[in-house]
Amino acid sequence: MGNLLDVPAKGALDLVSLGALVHRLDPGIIPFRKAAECKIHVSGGEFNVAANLADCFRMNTGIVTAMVDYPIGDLIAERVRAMGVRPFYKHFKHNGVNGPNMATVYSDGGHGVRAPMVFYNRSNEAGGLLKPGDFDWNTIFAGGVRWFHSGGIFASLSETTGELIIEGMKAAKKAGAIVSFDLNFREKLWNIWGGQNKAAEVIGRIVQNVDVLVGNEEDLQKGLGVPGPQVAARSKLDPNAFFSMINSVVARHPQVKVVATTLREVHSTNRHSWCAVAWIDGKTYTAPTCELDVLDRVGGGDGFASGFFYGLLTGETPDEAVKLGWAHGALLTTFPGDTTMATVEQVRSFAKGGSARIQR
Amino acid sequence: MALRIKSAAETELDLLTLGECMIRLSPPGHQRLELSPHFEVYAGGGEYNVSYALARYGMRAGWVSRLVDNPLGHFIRNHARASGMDISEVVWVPYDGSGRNDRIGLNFTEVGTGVRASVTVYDRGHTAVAHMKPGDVDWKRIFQRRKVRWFHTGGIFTALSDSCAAVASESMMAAHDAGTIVSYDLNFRSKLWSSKKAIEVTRTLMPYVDVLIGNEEDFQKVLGFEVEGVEEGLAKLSVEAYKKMVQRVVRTYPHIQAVGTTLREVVSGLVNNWSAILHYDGQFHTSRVYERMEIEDRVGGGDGFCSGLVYGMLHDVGPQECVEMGAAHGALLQTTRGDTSMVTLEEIRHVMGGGSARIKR
Repeated sequence: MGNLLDVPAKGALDLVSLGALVHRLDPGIIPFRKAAECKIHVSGGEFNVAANLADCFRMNTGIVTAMVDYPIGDLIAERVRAMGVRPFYKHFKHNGVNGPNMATVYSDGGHGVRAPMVFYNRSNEAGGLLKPGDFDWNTIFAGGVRWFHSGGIFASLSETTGELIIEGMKAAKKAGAIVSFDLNFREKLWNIWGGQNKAAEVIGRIVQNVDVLVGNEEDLQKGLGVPGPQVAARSKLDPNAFFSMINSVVARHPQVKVVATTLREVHSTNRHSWCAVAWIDGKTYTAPTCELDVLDRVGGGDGFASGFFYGLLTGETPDEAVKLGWAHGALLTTFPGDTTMATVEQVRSFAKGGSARIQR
Repeated sequence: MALRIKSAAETELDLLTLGECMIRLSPPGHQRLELSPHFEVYAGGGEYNVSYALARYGMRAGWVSRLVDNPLGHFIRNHARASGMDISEVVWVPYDGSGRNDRIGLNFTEVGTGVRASVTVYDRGHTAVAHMKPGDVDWKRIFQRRKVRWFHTGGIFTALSDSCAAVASESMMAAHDAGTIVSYDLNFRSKLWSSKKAIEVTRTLMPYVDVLIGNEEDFQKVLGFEVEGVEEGLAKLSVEAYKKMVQRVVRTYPHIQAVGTTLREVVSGLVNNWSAILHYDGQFHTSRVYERMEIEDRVGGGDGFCSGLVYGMLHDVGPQECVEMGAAHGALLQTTRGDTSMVTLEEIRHVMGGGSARIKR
C-alpha cells in the first residue's frame, strides 16, 4: 500500500488542510423557526479532517484558513487549538458592522421522519476572500508535509478559492505530499455565483492535481461532470453503481489512484444503514454494512475521510484503511457536533466488529 | 535594582508554571452541592491558571504537571491547549483502570451568595501530580537549553506532598541558576497542610524567589509574618498595616525584588472590596480600589492578579501599571464562572484606566 501512494515517511505535519472555518448553530430537535437556544459547534469540511486526525488519531495536522479578529473568530480559534490543530491564519479585521465574517451555518437535527435542515449565512465571508498569494506555502511546508487535503465546499466559496486550492496543491506536490480532495458538492453554494458548469470546470482543474478523491455518485456527477452510473443500483448501499463510474473518472484524470466514498441509506433521521467503499488502483474494497442509531449526522463523511487517510498514512492494508474510515465515520454520528470525540482505540475496536456493550 | 528578565529572542518560552490542574464540578447558579442534580465542569489550578491567562494573551506560556492518560486527563489537555499553552513538558502516566495508583484531582465548588460563603470540597488525594518526584522532569534541559524568561510556582503545588515540595525546590533552584525570574504565590490551603508545616517548608524556598505574591492571610500563614491590628475575620483591612508587614518581608529577604499583595474585604459572598499593592524597588504602588465589586465567582481572582502582574513585568510597563494590570485582571476574572481567564487585554486596559461598565455597541 505504502508503495502505491508513496506517502512520505516523515514530516513535521502529517496532514495540512485548506478550507474555511465556520460556526454551526444547532438548536437540536427544535426547528429554527421555534428555537430559543442553540449549541455552537466549530466546523468546516476540510478542517474536520485535520481536527479528527489530530484529536482522535494523534497525528500532527495543520489548517490553512482565514481568521477574523472578533469574538466569533476567538471562539473558533480556541476550539481549533483545543482539537490540537496547528493554525496558519490570514487575519482579517472585522469592521464591527458587516464583516468580513466567519460564516454561520444553521443546522437543526431533525428527528424521526423530519429531515435535518441546513442553510447558511456566508455573506462577506472571510474564507471567500482568500486568494492565491495569500500564504507562503514554503514556510508552511518547511518541516515536511505528508498529505495535503482540501474540498469542494471551499472551492465553491468564490472565484478565488478554487485557484488557491490549485496553488496549495501544486506547492504540496512539490513538497512531496499526497494530495486529496473531498468533492463535497454543495449546490446552494455554487448556485449563487458559478452554477453547475462553473463547478465542473473549476473542480475539473483542481482534480488534475489530486491523488485521492473522496465523493459519492452525486458528487462525481454534479461536481466533476462525470456521466451517471452505467449500472442501476439495487439499493443505496449497492456499490456497483459507484464503481461503474470510476472508469470515466480515471479516463479524465489518470493520475487519480484512489476514489472512495461512504454509502448511506437513510431510513429515518435517526436510523441509517452505513457502508464505505474504495477503488484503489483498479481494485475495489467494501467495508461491512452496519445499522446506525444516529445522534448527529453532520461530519460523518469527514469522519470517514479522516479514518481512511489515517489508514493510508500509517501503512495499513487498503482493506483495513477502508474499515478504519467506515468505523470512525460511524462513531462520529454518535457525537453531537461535527468533529470527533472518539479515541483511536474505540475506532480500532469498532473496525474489528466490537460491540456497544458498556466497558467497565 | 530592577528585574533582569531575559529577552524574548534568547528564549523559547516567556513563562513556565509548575502545578496541579484539577477538574472542578460546580452546581449551576447557587445550588447546594449535596442537592444539585447537575454539575458544570471546569478546569483550573493556581499555577496553571497563570499560564492559561498568559497563553490567552498570545504569550509563549508553558505548564508542567503530571497527568493520567485517561479521559479526565484528556479533558485537562483539551482545556490547556485551547488556550494555546505549551504542554509538551507534561509528564503522562498510564491509567491503571481504577485510580489506585494515580488520579486526576477533583474539586466540588459551590458558589455562595449573600451571607453564604462559597465552599470547595476537595477530592484530590492520590493524584498523579502529588506523586511527582525530583528527577521526573529534566529542568536543566528546560531552563538551560529551551530557556525560559519567567518561572512560576506556588504554595498549592508545594503543599501537595513532600515529594512535590522537593520538586518545587529542585525546579526553582534550576530556574534561579539559569537566570530565569522565579515568582512564587504563597497561596495557603489549610486543607492541604498546617500553617506550621507551611512555614517550615516555604522558608527553605525563599532564597530562589525574585517575586513573591500573596493575599491578605498568606504572609502570616505561610511565612509567619504577622499583620498588626487585623481582626480574625479580615473584614476590614488596613493598607498601612500591610505595608509595614511587606517591609518586614523585604528586610528579612532582601534579595526579593517585588512583593505583590491582593487585599480582599468580604462585604458579602458576592460583593467584595478589591485592591492590590506592589512593593518594587523600595517603593509601594497601590492599584485602583474596586469598592463593592460584584462577583460572579471569586475562585481564580488571586491567580488573575498574579497573571496580570507577570504580564506587565514581562512587558516592562513599570510598577504602577503592573499592579493596575494585576488588580484589573483579577477583578475581571471574578466576573465569570470558572477558575481561568475569559478576559481580553482590551478589557483589562479599559478597567484599569477607570473605565465604566456602560454597554459597548
